[in-house]
Amino acid sequence: MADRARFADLAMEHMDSLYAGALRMTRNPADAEDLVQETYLKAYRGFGGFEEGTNLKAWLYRILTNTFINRYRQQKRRPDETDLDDVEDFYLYRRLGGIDEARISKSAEDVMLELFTDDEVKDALESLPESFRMAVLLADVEGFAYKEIAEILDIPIGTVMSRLHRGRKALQKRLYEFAVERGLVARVEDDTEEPVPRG
Amino acid sequence: MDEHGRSGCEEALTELYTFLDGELTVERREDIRVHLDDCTPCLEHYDFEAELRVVISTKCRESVPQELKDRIAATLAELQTEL
Repeated sequence: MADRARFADLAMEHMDSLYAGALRMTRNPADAEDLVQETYLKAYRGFGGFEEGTNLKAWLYRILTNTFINRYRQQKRRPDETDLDDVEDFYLYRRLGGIDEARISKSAEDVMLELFTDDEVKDALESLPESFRMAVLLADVEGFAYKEIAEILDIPIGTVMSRLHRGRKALQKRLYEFAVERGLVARVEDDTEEPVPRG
Repeated sequence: MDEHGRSGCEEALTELYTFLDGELTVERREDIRVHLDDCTPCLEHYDFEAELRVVISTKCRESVPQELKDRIAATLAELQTEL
């Protein structure tokens, strides 16, 4: 059983990460601030239920997620499992795979760091339907294990894996569209695909 | 390429994300490592996906506004003294 007096000492260091998650969920800084504040107050009150030695950041994220769902999502409950196009595997690698070879002495990481702006990567993530966005955020940004993501989102591990699979592909496609729109890479046509309406 | 190599590549790419997610068993992980030691195309693909992930998490980093941090710290301190 965790002692409330130690809550601030242990939990404050995770606030940047929770704020980043809150921003991606709410897509709005004012709502993100409210969400983080409410999460910390709830967590403080419920800290007796935190099991010491387990992952505090995951525990906080679970509260953040539940608070978000209860508070901000009631009005627009939509079946978002279906509104994600099927995208081919390794979408970005098939198009940008050799990008480091053309630029001497630069790694693909450096090239991609320059290719995409911070806002584009955030927008791409935020453009994903909520359930996919959450899974990708928790895995690829926050580095949680499948089991932790399953607990945070209260879904089976198999569902975590399928959401990650589809969410990552959709994220890669969105990133590629940004690079094409800015004229940074030439579009590679894909004849299996229907034209995507721009919105 | 021989059959063994081809099926090795297929397996390696099927398990790429599970590998990067750190969710493979020690044995499977080791099998993939052995394959990557021998297979430059697969290694390049793995590197690309690993680097892409670093790019995504780097670009999504945020700093909580100091004012919010102070406000929450103050509220928690207040609640603590009320006990």
